[in-house]
Order: sequence, then structure tokens, then C-alpha cells
Amino acid sequence: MTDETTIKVENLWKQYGLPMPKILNKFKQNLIGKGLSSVNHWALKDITFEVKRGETLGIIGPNGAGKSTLLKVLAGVTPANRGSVKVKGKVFPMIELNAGIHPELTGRENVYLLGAIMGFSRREIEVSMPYIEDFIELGEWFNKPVRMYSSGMLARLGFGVAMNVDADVLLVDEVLAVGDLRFQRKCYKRMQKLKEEGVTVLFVSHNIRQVERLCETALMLNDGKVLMQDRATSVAEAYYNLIDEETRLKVKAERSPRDTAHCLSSGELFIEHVEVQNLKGETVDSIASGEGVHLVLRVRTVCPIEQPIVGIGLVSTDMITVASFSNDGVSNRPSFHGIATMHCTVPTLPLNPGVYSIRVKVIDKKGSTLFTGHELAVIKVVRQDRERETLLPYGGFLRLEVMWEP
Amino acid sequence: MNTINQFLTLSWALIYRDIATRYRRSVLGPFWTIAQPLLLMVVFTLLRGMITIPSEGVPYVIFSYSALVPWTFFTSSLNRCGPSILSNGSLIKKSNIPKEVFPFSAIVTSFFDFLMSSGILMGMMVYFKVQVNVTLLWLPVLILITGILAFGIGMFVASIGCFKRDIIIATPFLMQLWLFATPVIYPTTSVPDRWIWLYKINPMVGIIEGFRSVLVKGQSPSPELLVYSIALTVFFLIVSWPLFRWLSRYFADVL
Repeated sequence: MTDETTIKVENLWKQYGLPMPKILNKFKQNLIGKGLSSVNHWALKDITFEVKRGETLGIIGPNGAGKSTLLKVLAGVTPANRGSVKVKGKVFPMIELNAGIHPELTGRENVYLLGAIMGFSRREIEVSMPYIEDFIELGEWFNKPVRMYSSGMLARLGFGVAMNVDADVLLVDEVLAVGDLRFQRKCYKRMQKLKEEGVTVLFVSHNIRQVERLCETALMLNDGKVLMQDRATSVAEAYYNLIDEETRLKVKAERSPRDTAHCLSSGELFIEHVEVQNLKGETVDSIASGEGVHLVLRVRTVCPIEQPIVGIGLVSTDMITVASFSNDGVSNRPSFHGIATMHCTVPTLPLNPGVYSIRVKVIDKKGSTLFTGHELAVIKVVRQDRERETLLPYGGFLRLEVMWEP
Repeated sequence: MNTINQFLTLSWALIYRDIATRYRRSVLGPFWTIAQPLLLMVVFTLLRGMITIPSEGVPYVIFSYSALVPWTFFTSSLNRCGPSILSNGSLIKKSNIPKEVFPFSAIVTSFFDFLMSSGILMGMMVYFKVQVNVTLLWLPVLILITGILAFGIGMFVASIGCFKRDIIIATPFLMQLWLFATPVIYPTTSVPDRWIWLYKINPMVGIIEGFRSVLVKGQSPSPELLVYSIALTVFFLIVSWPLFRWLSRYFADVL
């Protein structure tokens, strides 16, 4: 362990519950029956990684991947079954931040309580108190019982303590989404500052963009194993690809959107199918970045519907609408009766590689909704053939035409 | 040293939380703290109007109350210790803290209640002109033994109860039975001779008799009974503390 290494985890295995001697386990299995041997579920399997001083490591992965368990082991809340975990310095776990807050105590009293729970002396908390008070901006509420607080105020309380006490290692578990936007921004800034001061941060989040923004490196966990540890942007991309692939397969499996829960119809009009074609009219799975796309919508109506307005949106995997367009301004919109098809061409699709799903909304001339549908189809945007693998990964969605001066 | 400091800081924070918040929104407030031994005393005094209970020549009110106060300290300690791990589960899952603070602060919290009831007891002793002497110096020893005994048993209940709740649910019932197996509302002399050997297995016999002889009779506690109680207290402590230590590492896994 060098001077610079703050956290060193080697071959860590973790299983929840009381470790029973093998004989006892066998006995138990015989008692319950052989089929239930899945009692031995490993939450973490052979985890190895290192974090340097002042580094911010993001931990991403699907639910149940073992992210929170990893933080708990690092916090010393729960012991590892095998392997070694070394953490240098004072650890401040931001796990279940509001746990331990007593509703009848005032904000100030709760800060002392939280501090004591996290292992800080009364003196240390007293020193930090002005900073905490200033940071959480509760004003007179700080001296009122916590039961009177709004949920946002409550969240600020726990967060304010964590951000303003002296710790060498911060373990952050899905808590940045607290408070209003201004407070969130403040938290970001504070995290940046802590980083500069040499505080090591482990940051668990489902918000990949947050991880990309805050962390240099990231760790991807899945099913208790480390899938990847690399620069945050690369890991984020890999994670997107993982979700993209899942989304694509899911949408493909549900080819008849009418049956799925993604659609809502007034009963008069249905979009039965959306097909993605290239400009040559061939049905395709993927489109090269910067090329055009042709969408074919199959519409079925129960009664004649005169000139409805159709809107189409492209949605990224993390639910951000990247672009949307409609035929609202078009004067000669078609009217529908029975089964019909609608065509829509986007001559160039200036999007960075990724998977984008298509949502469609149809309203009638008066503005009332006839149909909404999500994930009706997906467009997988891939790199153009002539482009090589980039060293610097893509960020954002838009593919801009850029001239570089020599 | 640092650990002890942290332990005390955290204990104090928990005790403050429990005491400060307990009656914050009640009308009678601290009265509830002294209510239990007081009401029990009233009940048994009324009961004594119907059946004969000897009280060794002192007013029954003093006789029973002087034992009910330390007894309540013991039972409320245990009743608080039992669920102390479960009810602080969120804290245990959040931070690595020495888990002994929870049963420990449960006992100190009960000790504060005990002090309040002791005030009432003192008033009553003055009213009934009970003579006391230098044997009162035994009191801190007796209180300490009571506390440590409760701590020993409490750690056992709390740690086992964390995995299987039954023992926590059973504790209040067992404490009620235990009351009748202890010379609180009657003197040890009322126990038939042929059962006395069985009766004296109960470590609280020596402790409660000790309290009473010091407070009411002005005599030192019976050394034979007291030594036995101390021995059993030490025994409980050396059995349940290591057990608690070991199990406490896994509390966060099952909470």
C-alpha cells in the first residue's frame, strides 16, 4: 500500500447473514431440502480495486449489483467474509443519511447526535457547527423540531453534516438528488472542493451523467463482480452500451406495441407499428451517425379521424428527449380511416452513437390526446465506417460539424 | 483512549436523545418516570389489606417501595436493553460504532429514572422517620451490581433477539414472573424452608435484600447472598459479552 493509496480492497467476498460452520449449514440444507441451496448468495464476489488519495471513484451498475454492500463493507458496518479491506484515515459513510435523525429533536440537536454517531466528538462538531449551519441554510428552522421540516430540509440536514466535517474518505450512496436545484449545485461545488483538499470520495449513483461529471474513474459492478474499472467516461459508455443493448432487445421482443404498457390510446387511433429504415428504404437495425433515417408508422383508426397531429420524439437511454418534431405546421396533413401508413424522413440524423428509442404522440385538431406510446422502436446510431475507434469517448448527444484550424 | 471517548460521546448523545424526547409532547411529563414503582407500591399496599404479607416490622409502604425502586431500575434496564439493537437498527446500518453503546445507554437512561424515584423514596423515608446509618455506603455497590447484572443479561437478550425476536417479546412477561420470585413485595422469610435453596438461585434475591437491609434496617447486606449475586453477575458478563461482541459484527446484516 503506497502513501497515495487510500483504499485497497483485495479479493473481497461478502455474504449476508451469520456465517455458520459448514457442518451446520449442511445440516440446515438437509433439513430444508436440497433444492434450496441458493441460501448462499454472494453479494460481492472477489472484488479487487484501489483508490488513490483525492480520487473520486464512481460506482455504477444495475440494482442489486452490490454497490451499497461494497460501501457498507468499506464503512465497516458489515464484515467481509474473505479478502482484505484497507482504508486509511477517517471514513464518513453517507449511507442512509437521515437514519438516526430523531423527529422530536431540533435540527441543531440532531447535528450533534449525527456527529456522535459518525464518531466525532462534541468539540469537533462544535467547530464545524457554523459551517454546517451556513451550508444547510435552514435559518430559524435549525432550532425547530425536525418533525416540522419538509423532506427537502430534512435531506439537507444529513447532507450538511457530511459535507462539513473533517473526513479523509467520503462514501456517498445515492444522496446527491436532495434539495432543490440550487442546493444540489452547492453540493457539487462542495464535492469539487473536498476533492481538491485531498478527500477521497466513493460515489454510488444511478445517474451516470453525475458520475461522468464528478468522477475521474469509475467501477462497474454487476451481480457482485467488477465488470470494469477505467476512466469514468469509458465506464459510463460501457454501461450505456449494456443498457442500450437491453433496451434494444426488449423493444424488439415487444414488436406489437398495442399490447404493451408503453401505449395509451383514447380508443380511436392506434400506432400499430413503427419501422426504422435507411434512406434507401431498407429496414435496418442501426444507422450510421450523421446519416438519414426514414420512419414508417402504421396507423389504425376505429373511426375516421381528420388531420391529426403526429409528434415523434427521440429519447436517450437515460430518458432524455434528444429531439422531437411533429407535422403540426404541415398544411396538408392526411386524414385516416382504417389502416394507413405514414412516412417521415429525417435527411440527416446528427446524433452521437447510442441507442435512441422512439415515442409518438397523436392529438386531434382540437388538441385532445388520441395516442401516446413510448419505446415503439429503437434507432441504434453507430459510428461511421470510415471513423476509427476514438480515444476520447463521446459525450453528449449531438454530432456537430466542426472545422479544426491547423 | 479514543475508543472510550467515542463510546462515551455516543452514549451521552443517545441518552440525551432518549431522555430529552421521551416526554417532550406529554402532559404529565416526568411523572411517568416515577409512576411505575409508585403505582405498584399502591397496588400491593391495597392488596395487603386483603391478604397478610409480613413486612418485618416496618411500614409496608416503605418495605415494598424500598425494594420496588431498585427492582424497577433492574426491569426497566432489561426491558430497554432487549430492543435497543433493533430500534437503533438504522444507526447500526449506517456507521461502524461499538454496539455496546445501545444496551449501555439503555441502562444509564434507566438509572436516571431510578434517581428520580429515589428522590421520592428519600422523601418517604424522612416522613416515616426511618433511621439510616453508615451502611448506606453499600448503596453504590448494590446499584453497580444491579446495573452490571442487567447489562450482562441485556446484552444476551439484545444480541440473540436481533436474530430471533422471541426472546425480546418474552422479556417483559418473564420480568413479571421474576418479580414474584424475588423478595420485593414480601420478605425472604416468607419463603418455605424447603424451597429456599431453589429460591436463592435468583441473583436478585441478594441484591434486593441488600437494598432493603441497608435502607430500612440499617444493616449491611448478607455477605453470603451478595457474594453469590456478584459471582453470578460476573458469570453473565463473561458469557454474554463475548457472545455479543461476536454477534454484533453481523447485526447490520440482519437488521
